[in-house]
Amino acid sequence: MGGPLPGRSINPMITRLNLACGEDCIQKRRMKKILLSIFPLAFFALWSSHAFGQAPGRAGDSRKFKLSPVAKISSSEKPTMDGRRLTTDLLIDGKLPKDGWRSTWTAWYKINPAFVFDLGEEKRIGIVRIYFQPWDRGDELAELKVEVSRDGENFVDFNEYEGFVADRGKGAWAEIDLRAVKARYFRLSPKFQGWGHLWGEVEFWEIAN
Amino acid sequence: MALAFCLASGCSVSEQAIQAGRTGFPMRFVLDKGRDLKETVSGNTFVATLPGVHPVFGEALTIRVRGLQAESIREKDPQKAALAFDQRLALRRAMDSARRVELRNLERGKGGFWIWADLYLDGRLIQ
Repeated sequence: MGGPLPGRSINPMITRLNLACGEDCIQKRRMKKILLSIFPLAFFALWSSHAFGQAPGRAGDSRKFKLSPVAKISSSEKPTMDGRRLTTDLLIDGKLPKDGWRSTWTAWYKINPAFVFDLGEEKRIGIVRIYFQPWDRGDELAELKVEVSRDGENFVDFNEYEGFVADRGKGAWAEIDLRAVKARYFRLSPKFQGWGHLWGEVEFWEIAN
Repeated sequence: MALAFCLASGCSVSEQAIQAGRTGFPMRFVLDKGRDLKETVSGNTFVATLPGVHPVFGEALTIRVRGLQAESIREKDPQKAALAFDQRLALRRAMDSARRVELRNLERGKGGFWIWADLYLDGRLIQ
């Protein structure tokens, strides 16, 4: 009954150290202790949010992606409206234009170009992203046809996509889920309704796992 | 720490992270015969799973083929019932023997959870 309460025993070593150290020193030690105990927790929280946070929108889909560089881009139609300065190469430079007129948007006014992207080698592409800016209407990018090829000459129809709606005068990403297409050349043929096309960037995301 | 985290995860990006934009909807669905085609209900109706669509909406979806007329399997008239079974068998065989089964121009049906679609077998419209 008269023994020390559990958890209340005094460690003589700590007492000695505390006596040798001032109040600031003790506070610093406490902070260090707290930080050291928080660090593994924070790391675990980050890791778990990554590991379990990629529970995809679709059940059973656990794809991981990495950005695939584009070796070459060509367009069936030259860009209009300052097209000499704002060329198709800007679509693969990794820089996003600012919202509004005119920044570095590559423009095709009242025409529908078709782009061929050469990835340099065959890759398994899961998602294609296009940074575009609707100008006259939110659904300006009406349709997008995707064709794929291994040799750059014989293209196979892959699919057509619609439903790209965004705020007018603001850049937005349009995403196309290709599931897993193995090809080297991708031909994208967009169709506009309204002003035309204002594109800023095109990205190809390779399946990493 | 960020670097360690990036290295541990292979510096790759999860699907959620890159799907923050506006996802385009496919206008055509190529069905995997083994995985996506479920059962044939009648000469113009079958059940299939639409690839790339959330399972709540796309799994085991009843699809009615636009342009195909067919008798109901539940027909009481024996002649019509026999015809209905023949039509069902014909649709099943046509889909089984095709190399590419594709649905286009999907449209919501009325009065139930089913859809109208154009059926393309090996690139040819079936109607």
